[in-house]
Amino acid sequence: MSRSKPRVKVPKSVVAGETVTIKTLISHPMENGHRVSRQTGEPVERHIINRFEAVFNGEHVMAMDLHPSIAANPYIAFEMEVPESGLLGFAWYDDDGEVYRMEKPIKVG
Amino acid sequence: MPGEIGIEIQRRKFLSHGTAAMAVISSPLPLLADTNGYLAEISAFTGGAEILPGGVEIGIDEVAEDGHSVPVMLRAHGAREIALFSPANPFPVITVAHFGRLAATAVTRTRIRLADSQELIALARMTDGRIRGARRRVTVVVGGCNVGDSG
Repeated sequence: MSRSKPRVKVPKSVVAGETVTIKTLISHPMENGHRVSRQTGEPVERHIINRFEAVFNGEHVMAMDLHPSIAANPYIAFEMEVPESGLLGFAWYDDDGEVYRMEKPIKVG
Repeated sequence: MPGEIGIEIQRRKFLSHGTAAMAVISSPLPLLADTNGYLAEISAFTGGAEILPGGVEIGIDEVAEDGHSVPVMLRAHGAREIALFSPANPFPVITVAHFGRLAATAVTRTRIRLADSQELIALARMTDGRIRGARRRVTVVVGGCNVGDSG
């Protein structure tokens, strides 16, 4: 099974209190559990990223519960206010127990 | 008779769920039949609270050519949570977004699958606990939750 690869777009430096857009993408098939394999004729088991979380300096910013109706390679963008310099942490939770993580620094200056 | 009790419970369920959904629905279009349980999911989200119209935006093209990946934007300024429900996909809850203090604009963009043409319903739980709702009709040209496959 190929490992999912997350990518994020975060501004490196912002003005204090500025609201910025954060964009994220993770490669993942998001098998919805309703598909039948053309090769084997067998149902393909559900296998999705079921939750996304963004945390800034330990504080919950934004999270999403993802269900089978989210398209393959889940794209999630949101807006956040940046009160101070710090680390923006991301986590994607896979049905198979794997958690994909990433951190990006944001500098207020 | 157990059968009658069952029917009565179903009728009450239908009435309570139907009422909750009808409140969202100050739109002239009729509700789709509840084949996937979306009305129960809506009731679970609202906890029976009244759904106030306005204050929530579903940004989506009126016509989605490819139901496998449809861009959607959800926004409800000051919301703690926004949930998106589908009356026509196999699973009625598409996503629930949770917003903290730093994401007070409460906006999210993602891409979803739509099995068929339908009217999406978004509900927002505001910071004061009130529920706001919106509906948005989408015509889907090629459905995207399908049993047929690409691999």
